[in-house]
Amino acid sequence: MRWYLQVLFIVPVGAVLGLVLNATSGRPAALNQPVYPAASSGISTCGSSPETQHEAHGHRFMPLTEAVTACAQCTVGFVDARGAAAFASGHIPGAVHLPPAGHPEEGKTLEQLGRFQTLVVYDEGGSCGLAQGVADRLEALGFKDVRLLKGWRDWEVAGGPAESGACEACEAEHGG
Amino acid sequence: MDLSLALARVALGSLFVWAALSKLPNIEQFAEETANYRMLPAPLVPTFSAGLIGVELLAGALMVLGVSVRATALIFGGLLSAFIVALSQALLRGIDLSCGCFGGAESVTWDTVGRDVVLLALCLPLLRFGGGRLRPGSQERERTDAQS
Repeated sequence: MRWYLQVLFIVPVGAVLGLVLNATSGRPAALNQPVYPAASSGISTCGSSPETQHEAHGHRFMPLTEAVTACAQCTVGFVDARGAAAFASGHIPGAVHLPPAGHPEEGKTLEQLGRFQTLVVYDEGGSCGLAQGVADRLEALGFKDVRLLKGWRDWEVAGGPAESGACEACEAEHGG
Repeated sequence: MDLSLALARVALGSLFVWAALSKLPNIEQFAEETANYRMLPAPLVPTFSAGLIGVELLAGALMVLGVSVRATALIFGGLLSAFIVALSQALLRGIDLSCGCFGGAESVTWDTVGRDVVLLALCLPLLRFGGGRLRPGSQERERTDAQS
């Protein structure tokens, strides 16, 4: 068989192997359900129905009213998991910016968060999964009480306080 | 030359095997990350994501073993070209997403694109000359591969 014809064999066999492996995965993709884009970005927002997903991922969900009170009393540390542009355009007062991939001054950010017993992580809302990723990471780093908030959009709709401006690390990184 | 090619194929193949294995425990998340690139129709995303992992795993293993090296180099060349396009369009559109490359939460940056360009460059000699050999005893298999 010509070597380039082997491609026609390897690709379909590999694809079938992938489907078999999916069936044995701990968290398989649901093949019969469409997956829509959900990344937080400057040009888009996430989908809907965040509460069930956040709860399903094993993190406790903090009700919006409780979060607003906690924000006013500065009793919890808010962590914004969205992109830098979204954070700069508006975020919960005092929130620190910590996207899933971290940033150059992450050590300083974590130090700030160490003051709080409870952390509340949020993203745009919907099925982003950004907040989930950051919450998982914070737990792995030893933070004991990490919760999720319904999302920035609901916070805004509820009239929660807000401030704007880029985080220091992002400004340094982008030369702003 | 033969040793360099062999080392290149083992490195490249191992990287793809690792990439596939790192995604296996949570294919659901990989599907979400694939969707975030906004390049595929939503109904195709889960099947494509699962299939891609299988192709990476099978082709990676074949390349490490020195079997069908040119064919797998062609597959990796195609995949990496597609990854470069996907990553670049996401960056240019300002989509803030995690790469999904190795199962973690690595953010997409131009460094990610640069890494794929380097890997793509690694495919070219393998495509042209085959997979080389780590030891003289593997000459026979190499010859068979080149002839087929």
